Order: sequence, then C-alpha cells, then structure tokens
Amino acid sequence: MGTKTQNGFLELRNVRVEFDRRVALRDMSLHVMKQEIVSVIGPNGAGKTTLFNVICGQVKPTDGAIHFNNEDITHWPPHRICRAGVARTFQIAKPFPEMSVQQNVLVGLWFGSKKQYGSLTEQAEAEELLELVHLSAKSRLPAKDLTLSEQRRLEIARALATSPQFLLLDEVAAGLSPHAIKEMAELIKALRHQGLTLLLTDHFLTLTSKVSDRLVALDQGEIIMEGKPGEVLQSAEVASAYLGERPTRNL
Amino acid sequence: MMRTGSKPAAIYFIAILLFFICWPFLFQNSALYYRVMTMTFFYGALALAWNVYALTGNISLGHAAFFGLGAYGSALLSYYWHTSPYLTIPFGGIVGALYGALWYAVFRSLRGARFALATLASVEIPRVIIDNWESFTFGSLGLIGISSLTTLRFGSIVIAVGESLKAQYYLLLCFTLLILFIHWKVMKSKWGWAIRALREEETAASMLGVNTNFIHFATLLLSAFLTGLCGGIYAHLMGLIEPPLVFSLHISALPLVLTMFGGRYLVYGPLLGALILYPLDQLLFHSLLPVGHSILYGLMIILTLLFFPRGIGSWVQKRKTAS
Amino acid sequence: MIILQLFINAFSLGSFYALVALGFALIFGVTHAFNLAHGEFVLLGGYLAYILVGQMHFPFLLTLPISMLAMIFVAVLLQKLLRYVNEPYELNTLVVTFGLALVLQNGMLMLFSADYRFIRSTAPIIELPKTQLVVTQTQIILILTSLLATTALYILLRRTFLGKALRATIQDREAAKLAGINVRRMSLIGFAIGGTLIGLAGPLYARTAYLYPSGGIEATLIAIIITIFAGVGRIRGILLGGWALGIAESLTVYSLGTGWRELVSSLFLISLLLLRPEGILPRRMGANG
Repeated sequence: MGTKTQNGFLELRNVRVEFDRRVALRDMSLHVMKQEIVSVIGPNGAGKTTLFNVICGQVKPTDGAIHFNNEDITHWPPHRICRAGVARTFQIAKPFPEMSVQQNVLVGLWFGSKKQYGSLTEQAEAEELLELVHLSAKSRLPAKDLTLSEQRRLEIARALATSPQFLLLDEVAAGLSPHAIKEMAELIKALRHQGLTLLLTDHFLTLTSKVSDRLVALDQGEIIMEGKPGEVLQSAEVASAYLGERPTRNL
Repeated sequence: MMRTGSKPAAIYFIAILLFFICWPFLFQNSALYYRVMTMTFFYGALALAWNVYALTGNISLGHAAFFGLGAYGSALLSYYWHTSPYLTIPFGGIVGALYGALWYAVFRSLRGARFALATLASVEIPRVIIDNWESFTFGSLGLIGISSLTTLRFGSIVIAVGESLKAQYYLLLCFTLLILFIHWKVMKSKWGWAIRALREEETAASMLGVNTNFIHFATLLLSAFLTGLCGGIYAHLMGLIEPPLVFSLHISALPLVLTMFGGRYLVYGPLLGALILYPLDQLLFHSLLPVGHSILYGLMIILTLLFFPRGIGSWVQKRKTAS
Repeated sequence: MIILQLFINAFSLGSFYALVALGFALIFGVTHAFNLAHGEFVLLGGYLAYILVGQMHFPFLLTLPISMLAMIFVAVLLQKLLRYVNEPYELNTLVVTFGLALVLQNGMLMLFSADYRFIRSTAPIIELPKTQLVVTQTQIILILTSLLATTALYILLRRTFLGKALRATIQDREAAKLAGINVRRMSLIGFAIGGTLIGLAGPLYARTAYLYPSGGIEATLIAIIITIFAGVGRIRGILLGGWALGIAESLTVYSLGTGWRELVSSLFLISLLLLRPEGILPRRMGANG
C-alpha cells in the first residue's frame, strides 16, 4: 500500500527486501519532496532501519526501484549514493574510534564532498560543523572517548561534512533529554531552512510532532498510514500496531 | 596515532640510514654482517609489503602464496627464457599481483578470522600445483641454478652484484628503502585515510564516500605485487627454490610477527621489527637454540598481541611523549 | 571389493577426523576462541602416549585417560592465557594461537627432533569372514571411540542441565549472560571438555598417523573444516563431516595420489568459508546439540 507516486526528490517504487526467509519490506512505495521533513514511525521490526539501509545502498532490494534526484540509484554502492548527495546517521553510532572527533568530520569532508584533501580551510570547516552540534570542545579527543549521545551528534556533523542534499537521521532523538530534543528539533528545522531534505525515524515519537511535515507509519514492512502528524498519531490502526509497545509520550 | 613527530623522527631516520650506508666502510668486510643485514633488510621489505594490506584490518596468513608465485614466476622465466633478473623480478611481482586479484574476486566478502583462514588455505593451491607439475617446475626437486643477479654497469663503474655480498647489501638496502617509501606514501596520503577509515569502521566509511571495494582491491594488488617482487629477489639471491621453502608458513608468519612487534600503524614499524628481531634471531637465538630458534617468533606474537598490541614502536613513542 | 575396503578405510579415517574435530568444535562453539594450535595440542597427547608406551611400556589403552587428564590441564591454561586477548576476539585468538602453534612446534622439535614417530599396534589384523576385507584393531578403536565420544557429548549437551547451559552459551552468549548463566565458568568448562576430547584424540593420532612436529597444522585444518561444515554447536554434523572428508580424501588419494590431498582439503575449506558463513557467525537461530 502506498500513495500515488509523484516525482519526488527521493522515490521508492514497489521496493521489496527479503532476508533468507524473512520479508523486511513489502511493496514499499514512498516519496519525499524537496525540503520536506518526513518522519517514519512504527513498532520494532516494522522495517524502519531496513528502509534506511536500502535507500543508502547497504542492502540491495530484492525487487523494485529507488530513484533520487531523477537518477536510478537502486544498485549503486553506498559511496556513490553518498557522492550523489545522500547522507545518513546510524542508530548505533559508528564513529571512527581511534580518530579524533575532528578527523572523523574531515573524513566526511575529504571523501563525501567535492572539497580537496589538504586544503587550508578544511580544519576550519570541520570546526564549523562541530560547532553546529556543540562538540567543538571535544574536537581533539579520540571519538571512542565520547559518550553515546555525543557520538550521535558527531555522526550528524560527519554526515553534514559530505555536503548532502538529503539527510537520513536514524533514531537521532533516542535517549535525549527534553532539552536536548528541543535543540535537535531546532537543528533539524535550521537544516531544512538551509536547503536540506530530511527523512527521520522516530520510534518513540519524541521529535515527530515538533518537526515533521508528514508522517509515514510502518508495520511489518508495509505502510499502514501516511499523512499529517496529527491525523496519523490519532489513528487507531497506528495505535494498535504499537500495542504491546510502550511509546513514551504523545500518543 | 598516525603522527610521528616529524622533525625528531626524520633526524633519527637519517642517522640510522647513514649508519647502514657507512658501516661497511668503517669496519672491515664482514661476511656475516653482510649476510645477516641483507636478509634483515629483505624481511623488512617483506613485512612492509604485507602491512600494506594489513592496514585495511584484514590480517592475511597466506602471503607466502604471492611470495612463492613471485619466486617461481621469476625463476622459471629466467631458466627457460634466459631473461635478465632485473626483468624477471618485476614479472614475479606481476604473477603475485594476479593471484592477489584472484583473492579479491573470491574472498571479497570475507572478513576477520574467516579471511585469515581462507588466505591460509589458499597457499596450498599454487604449492601443490607447482609441486606436482614436475615436467615444468621440477616439482619437489626444486629449481636449482637460478642465475644470480647480473652485473650492473654504469659507464666505467662495474658492480658485480651476483658475486659481491657488499653489492647485494647495498642493493637490498635500496630496495627496502623503496618499499619503505611506498609504504609511507600509502599511509600518509588521502589513500591512507581511506584505508584507515575502512579499517576502523567500514560501513560508516562507505557511507561517507569511501569506495571501500576499490580500496580493498588496490591495496591487495599492491601488497601482492610487492610480495611477489620479494619472491623474485629471493630466487635470484639464493639460487635455488623449492615449494616447501617458498610457500612455507614461515614466510607467511614472519611479516606478521615483525610488523606486530615493530608497530602496525607506524610507517617504519615493520622495518623496525625486522631490524630488531631478525638479527636477534640469527645472531643470538640461533647459537643458543640451533634447533628450535624460531620459537622466538611464536613467543613474540603472543607477547605482542597480549601486552603491547600496538607494537614496540608505538610503546616507545608513548613513553617519549609522556616524559 | 577394493571399493568396499576403501570405504572401510575411509570410514575409519573419517571417524578419526571427527574425533580430532570434536575438541575444536566445542571450544570454538562455547567461547569463539579460534585455536590455531589445536593440532599441536593433539600432537602433544600423541607424543605423551608415545613416550608412555615406548619408554615406560604402558599398555596403550592406559595412555588414553592419562592423556585426557594432561590435556584438560593444558586446555585450562590456554583459557587463562586467552582471557587477556582484546577485541576482535575471533581474529586475535587466531593470531595468538598461531604464535602458540609456532612455539609448540619448535618446542616439540627440540624435544623430539624432526623424526617421524609412530606407535605400532601389536594386535593382529582382523579379516572379516567370507570377504577379503581386512580391518585393524586401531581402526575399530577409532570408529568405536569417535562414536562413543560423540554420543557422550550429545547426551551431555542435550540431557544434562550443564549441557543446557553450554548450549545456551553457544547459541547466544549475551542472552545466556542475561539469563543468569555464568559464561566465564562455561568457557572454563568448555575448554576443559575440549581438552578431554583433544587428549582422547592424541594417542589415537599416534597410532594412526606419523607424529612429527610440523604435522599439527594439518590436524588443525581438518578440525576447522569439519567444524564449519557441521555448523557451530551442531555435534551430529561433526561425525557426518568427518566421514564426508574421510571419503573425499580417500577417493582423492586413490585416484590422484597423495600429492593432491592438501589441495582438496584447502579447496574444501575455502568453499565452506564462502558458502557456509553461518558456520562461524556468532549468532545462530535454532542450533541443536
């Protein structure tokens, strides 16, 4: 099930992902328009992370196609998708542990964007991005010494270093204090203002109502509902999909 | 971690280099010194060649395959077609690289312990084939009488490389410096950062624009080529090769020991390991334990991995910066 | 007739391989320690039996319990040593035991020299009635021992409480920890039982194949091949795997001669690594004992 696909900035057409004997995504059709902020919600196992993985090339679809900026990226390797302008963070942060925080960001700059390796401004640019996520103070520390939520912020700075047009944030609000969530929401809105399109997963529904233009609810690999946050969050179907789960707020 | 304080390190490097260059002029001709140091440089080069791929995080236990193929490729070309060693050696490198490409094609999805095991098993394939193909390779009898390195002439300067231990010493010193240079360039460059990113967190690296497949392919090919070169040199230096010798576990293990001991993530690490361990083994342990002296290498692997996994080189560095 | 004789030999060889593999499989299953010195440990048991029989004139069967006891001790020492290994555990234990294998090889070289050694069986060869098939006492002991050992292990894993705890640790270490199982103790027990099995294989090795210091690597490779073939934690598969490998090797030697044997085992191993990666994945749904 899915809405009629218009020509979106990002488009999934009838994407199916199967692992061994398990179907993670069924006949998924989704589109995201330029500068939209779309949140994907759903219970555990609904397919949110698989969705991210298939868009970014970590996983190949068994069937269907993915188009970004009018190009067919279905079978592209991750690094090529990155260079095309797509960046993501990971639910479990994957920093380069032995590199410093700044070096982590520099890697993004060197390989993901068109910036030159060894340019005079690269360190300053990296610092700017770290400033955005409030990590400047820890710039010289090895990334493994950061706390989990700091590592998540590093992920964002690093992803932004690749000069993306489309950013996927995977459970970026998990475990954050209400104040930090508010700051995250501000950051997301600021990024959209700067021209980015964003796709988020938000299992605990903490960010969703604050930033999203549109909500997509998944369950068992399918879209069960799509629409404005208010509508979706009040739907009985979505509630029953979450039943047995305990969303922490706002349902 | 990858910063070697540039000024002091460069000074040490030049000092040590001058030492090796000048030693033969300062002290009397000592055949023992030449023999031991020539092979020390040789194994240092071998270790550096191995580490080029080990930098990606994939530990290979099967580099003897490239070595043996390089040795046989080089020796057979020289034997049957009487080609100059200075051509057969690069040819040996190419043969090694071809097998490296095969590794990439077959083992590309393997990582960690699985990869190490597969590389270990892969040595048997060329070894058994060469061992059994007696009509062409002389099988287990070995290939003897391989021509030694031919004399070089530069105008009126004649260097009888094949006969002179001294010339071989300098030749291998130059060769090792070349490999060291390549190792340096691989580590301290944009490519070096890509390899490091791949090693530390492959998934994230690919999502940041690092072409991880290509990096694996290119570094493996380079490592295999350089190891094949070493094999070719070995053939012409020793004059005789046989399958159990050039495809031995010892050849696969030694670079690993030397590199881990000297420092996996240092430019000069593998070479440092060779400079310390090989002479120690040949001069000291050989006389103490003529039969089981290789026990040193086994002990070194265990001690290094358990107690200073970053190698003695970085341990020394840490102490310097702490004081 | 030759085919049947070949089959008997292959069957006994396969049983031997399975026995060699059991200890490795258990240790790897419970702890994920990759013991590349496994073959050398088997050789140690073999050399021990060789000395007991040759110099102290012990009856062969007595060497089995002695060797088993000695190997439990050695295996537990190894477990203590491996506790110092950092992540990634599988790879690092592989490299450390690689070093250990070199140490043991050279140690044995110094103690026993490179000469090939063998424990000769004094029992007569048994001829099966009405056929021209022969079978040696050693072969019978091999087949019986490997069947017994496998059955004993199977019963331990499936019917005892300890076995359940071991199986839980094999399936999912983290979950086992959460369920209150002392995984540290399980590692120790895993190594101890593994040591017993290795100690059982040692003396039989000395009766079946030549003992020489560098012979360990082959035994290790065989153990690895069969373990991957069977899948982590699957014990029945080990017997099957052993027999399969025994038959494959015997056929190769019969048709191509001994020179190609290692090539076949290597290709076997590589194919398994490529096709059965779940044989060494840390998590496996529904593994049985």
